This record gives sequence, structure tokens and C-alpha cells, in this order.
Amino acid sequence: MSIYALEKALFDLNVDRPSKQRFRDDPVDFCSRYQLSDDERARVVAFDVRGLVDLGVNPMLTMGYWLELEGSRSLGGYIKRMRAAPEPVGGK
Amino acid sequence: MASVVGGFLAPHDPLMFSTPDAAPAGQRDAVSAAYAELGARLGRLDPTAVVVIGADHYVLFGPGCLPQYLLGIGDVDGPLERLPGLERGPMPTNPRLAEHIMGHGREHGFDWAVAKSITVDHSIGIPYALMVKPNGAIPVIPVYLAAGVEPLVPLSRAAALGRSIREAVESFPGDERVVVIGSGGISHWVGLADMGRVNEDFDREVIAHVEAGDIDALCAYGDADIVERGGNGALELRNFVCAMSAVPAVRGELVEYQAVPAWITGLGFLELVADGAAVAR
Repeated sequence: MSIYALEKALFDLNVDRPSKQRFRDDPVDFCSRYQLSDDERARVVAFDVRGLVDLGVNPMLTMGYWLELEGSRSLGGYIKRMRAAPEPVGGK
Repeated sequence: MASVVGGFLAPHDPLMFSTPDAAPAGQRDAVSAAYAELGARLGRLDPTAVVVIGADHYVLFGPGCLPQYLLGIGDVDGPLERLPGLERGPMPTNPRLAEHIMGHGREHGFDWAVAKSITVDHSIGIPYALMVKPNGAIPVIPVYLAAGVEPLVPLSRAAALGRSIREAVESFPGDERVVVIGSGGISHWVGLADMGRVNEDFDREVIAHVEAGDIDALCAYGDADIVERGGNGALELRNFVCAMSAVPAVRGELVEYQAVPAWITGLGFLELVADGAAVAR
């Protein structure tokens, strides 16, 4: 199931150093190792944490990967992003 | 004979270490004093081992293996997270008692997942550092309940597991004096849009149930209701009911409560007092 693949990808981004580096180098390539839909991949790459939580991803994973890898690495930024309106499903 | 001589419920809020100054000085001091008080009370119980019941925050166990309840039977160190002021290191253990709890469980319907070696996270590392370690080298036995990652262990099962821990201790040959710590809560929204919300009404309600020793009332909460009123972090009530069930004829004594939005949590500190007559001797 895709939600499980999403949790696997985000878990790896929380705890596995080589995975974090691969994501920093090329997030789309990192995501290609997991069985994600185009929409799911787009949400991971865009740090659409609200969209990921809405899909059912455990929020500890979204918060962890944000703090590890998102540019600001700030909890305030994460909460702001969580409170913003969700992005349209399907991406561009 | 060995017995569970008492217990405690205490939070494990990492923001106390990562952003200590975010909270008002008065609350910071009250929380520090509460940990010191629980630590002093723990010391007065003169324990020979402490069982600490924590919750994985999706950093110890991954999607490839998610235990419902896990016992550390061998080497223990931690905490895993790097938090300022919290030193990572080995913890003293009692493998004989831990293996006995495992074996007793297996004979009575609780086939524990086990860690032969475990680096605990902050949910065990913080209560250990602030309450156990100040009393010297008391062995720690870590227990993890699935309280933060689906599928969650049912509350009633957490209570039954706590009773199993107590029965296991009471069947252990020797004079062990075991203290149980339920680590967690109370209301907090972790990684959700409501992060920073604290629901003191819910927290006070939970505290009242703990004071009354009313495990059934706590087990009667539905998970959806807990998340609605106490946030996903309050699902750690599992750790409370497990610890309470491990203490003979338990009642709770509130030591401190602080609602600290800056640390995103309603922090409750309780002693679980065993009825003296019910403590096995």
C-alpha cells in the first residue's frame, strides 16, 4: 500500500543518514526508490507536510523529516505549514 | 519475596531540553522541582530495579517491524536523541529479572517482543535521567508500548500487560523491590496543526482517574476521543494504565501539574501509591 511506502520513505529520512544525503542531493531520485504515486512523490519533494498528514502519514514522521531536511529546520515553520490550506491534490 | 513497591507517572517532553527558555521561569522551576520530588520519592522506596514504560516516537521501530509491546532484556543505553544537557550512555540492567518477566509473560499469554540490546529514546531516557539516575546505579528495565504509531496496543491490553508485569515480579525468587514509571502525556498534539494546544480540562479529568486508581475509567476512553480532546500525544495514556496496573491496589497522588503551551504539553506528575497491605512481602 502506498501510505506504507510513504511512511517507509519518511522513516528513512528521519533515521538513515545516507537516505538524508540522497534526498538532499536529488529528492526526486531518492523518491524513485519507493513505490509512490506521482502525487505522493510531489508532496514529499515539496515538504507538503499537511498534505502528507491528510493522506494518513504519522505526523511524527512528517515533523521529523521537516526538522531534518527542510531549509528552515524550524518547528514554527512546520506548524505554519501544517495550518496552511492544503495544496491541491494532483500537483502540477 | 519480590514486589512492586510503587510507581510514578511523568512526562518526557524533549522541549524541556531543546528550548528550556521558551517556558516561563515559574513553570520551568515548577517542572524541575516536580522531577526532583519524584526522584526523591523514588529513592525513598529503595528500589532495586525500575521498569520504565515508554512509547516509540517512530525512531526506534520502523515500518518493517512494529512491536505491540517490547521488553528490553539485555543491554540498555541511550537516549538516542541528542538533547542538550542529556548525556547518552549505558544504563545499569538486571537481565535476570527482565528475562523472568519475559518468561512469565510467555507462560501467561504475553509473548513479548524483546530487545536483547536497545538504545532507548527520550521517552525512557528523560525519566531515567531526572528520576532514577540521581539515586545511583539502579537497574532499569525498558518496556515499549505501541502508543504513538498505528496499530496501537489496546488500552485494556496495556492494563493486562501491567498486571502481568506485577505477577511476574511477585513470582521472582529474591527480594527485589521494583518501581514502575509510566512515561508520557498528558495532552499534546505532536506534529499536528494544533501543536501547542494544551487541554487542561482533559488533563485534570485524567489526573482525577489516576488519583482514584480508576484504571477502568481510563481504559474506557476511545482512541478517537483521546485524540480529539488530548491530541495524538495523549494516546500515551497506555503507558499510564500499564504502570498503574503493575502497582498493587493503586491510587494516585498528584505532585504537580503544569499546562505548558511553550513546550506543547500538559505535564502531569503523579506518584502511584501501592496499598501497603497489597504489597507482596
